[in-house]
Amino acid sequence: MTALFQWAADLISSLPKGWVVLLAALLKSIVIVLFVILNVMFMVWLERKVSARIQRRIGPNRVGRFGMWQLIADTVKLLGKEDIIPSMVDRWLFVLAPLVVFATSFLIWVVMPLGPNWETPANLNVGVLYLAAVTSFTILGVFMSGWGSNNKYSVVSSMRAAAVMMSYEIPQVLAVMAVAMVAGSLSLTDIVGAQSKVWYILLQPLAFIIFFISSFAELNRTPFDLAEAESELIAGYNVEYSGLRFAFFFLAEYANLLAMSALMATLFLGGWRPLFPLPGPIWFWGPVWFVAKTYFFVLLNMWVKWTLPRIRIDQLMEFCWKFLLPLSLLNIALTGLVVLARV
Amino acid sequence: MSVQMGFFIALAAITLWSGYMVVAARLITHAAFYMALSFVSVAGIFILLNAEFLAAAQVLIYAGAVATIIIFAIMLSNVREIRSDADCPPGIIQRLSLNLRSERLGILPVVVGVIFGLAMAYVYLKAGWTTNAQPAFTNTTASIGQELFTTYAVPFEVASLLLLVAMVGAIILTIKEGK
Repeated sequence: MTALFQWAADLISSLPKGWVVLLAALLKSIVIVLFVILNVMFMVWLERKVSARIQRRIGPNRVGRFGMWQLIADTVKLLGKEDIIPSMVDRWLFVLAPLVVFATSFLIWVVMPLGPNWETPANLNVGVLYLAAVTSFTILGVFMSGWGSNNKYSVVSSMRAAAVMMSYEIPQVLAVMAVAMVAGSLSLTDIVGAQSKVWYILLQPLAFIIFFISSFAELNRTPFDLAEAESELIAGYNVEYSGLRFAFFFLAEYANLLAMSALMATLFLGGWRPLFPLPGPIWFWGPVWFVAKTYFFVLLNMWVKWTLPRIRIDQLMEFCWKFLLPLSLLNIALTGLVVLARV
Repeated sequence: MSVQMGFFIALAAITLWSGYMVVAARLITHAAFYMALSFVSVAGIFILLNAEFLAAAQVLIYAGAVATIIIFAIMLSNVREIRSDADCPPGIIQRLSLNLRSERLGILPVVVGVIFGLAMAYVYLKAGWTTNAQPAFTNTTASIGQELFTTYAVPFEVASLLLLVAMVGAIILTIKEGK
């Protein structure tokens, strides 16, 4: 066994430095992709169970214990479907759109500290800015699917989605800026490090509320799911998609929910920092705490989604521009005063 | 050839190709998406240069805001195709040769490109930049913030005022008469 490790270490040290970095990045990406995919599969099942309980139903219970294998069955069904590309679509945009949306949902994890000593690339110490930047790719993907489908419902839906995402991105980023001001850094690792004494949900309650509300709009989930309002837009920008291509959109929605919840856990609940000390090494309990906090927000999101009705698009936009945006600016001004007074 | 060089060549090729496709695409929507692609690959080049703040700002502002707003404008307008079928024969070779012979897609861009390249080469030779591999700052974001709020505070504020004026102007233009 030691000989094997020695051989591997020799092999790695004999490679040029650039290749080692590339190899490490590749390994890390595989771990992250597996982590996200497994969680997403679990979350789809969880959402069906939670929504069923909220609506006094039972939910999936036929395939396996508690219906655990329902998603496997659904996946096999989706994969087995015929791949239909409607004849009048813009072929390139239609094919690329699900991939853009799906790939974007993984990008947030590059800078997410999953545990102690989880190093983010040194080149990316702009953490928070990076997050704001990569989430904007989703808008482009939604536009591609809406336009590429050549369907008026899709176009209306993608324009709504883009308008909502762009508007709510502003108060959301401003809320994160207030957090970054308190922490004195844009890097998520430093923000977690700064929460060793007190979590930012206590220091920045206003920022948390703004971020939490905006996250529903960013994720296109009820009460802000105007982009896929079934009653008026059928299913929105993904109405022409079926089979595997639809699965990409579906999985991306849950991957984004996971990423957004993880982000809230990192920014406001201290990330991997434990609430109370447990026996055992922190490198083990850190990721466990992180996942637990993430699922706290996932469940909160599902609770809200299955409780509240959808609101109108004009109410949604007015709420953002006339209430959330001034509030987030006020929060930044207040935070600035406090930070100045403390220095 | 190092890994970095490989990435640089790939990103530069994508930038050049997408930049050309912005003017050569048949559909105006495709031109907008090619523009977004070129913005993103330029951001990749910024990362290779250790300018991570510039890269994030590039994606946030250009790909996230500018390209999206342009696509919005295209969707709200009636323009769809900017080339007729005769301009776009099937087959990449035929299309490329036709494009290169045409005035707007071939000769003019080449002339403009050569002039711009010469100007950039002149600037490069005149400036005499040192080409040491070490980045000058370890934390570029902090130094950019320091400079923006001290040395360049006035230009920064003037730029934001200009944007505010443009925004107010746009809102005024959309107000309908008699409402």
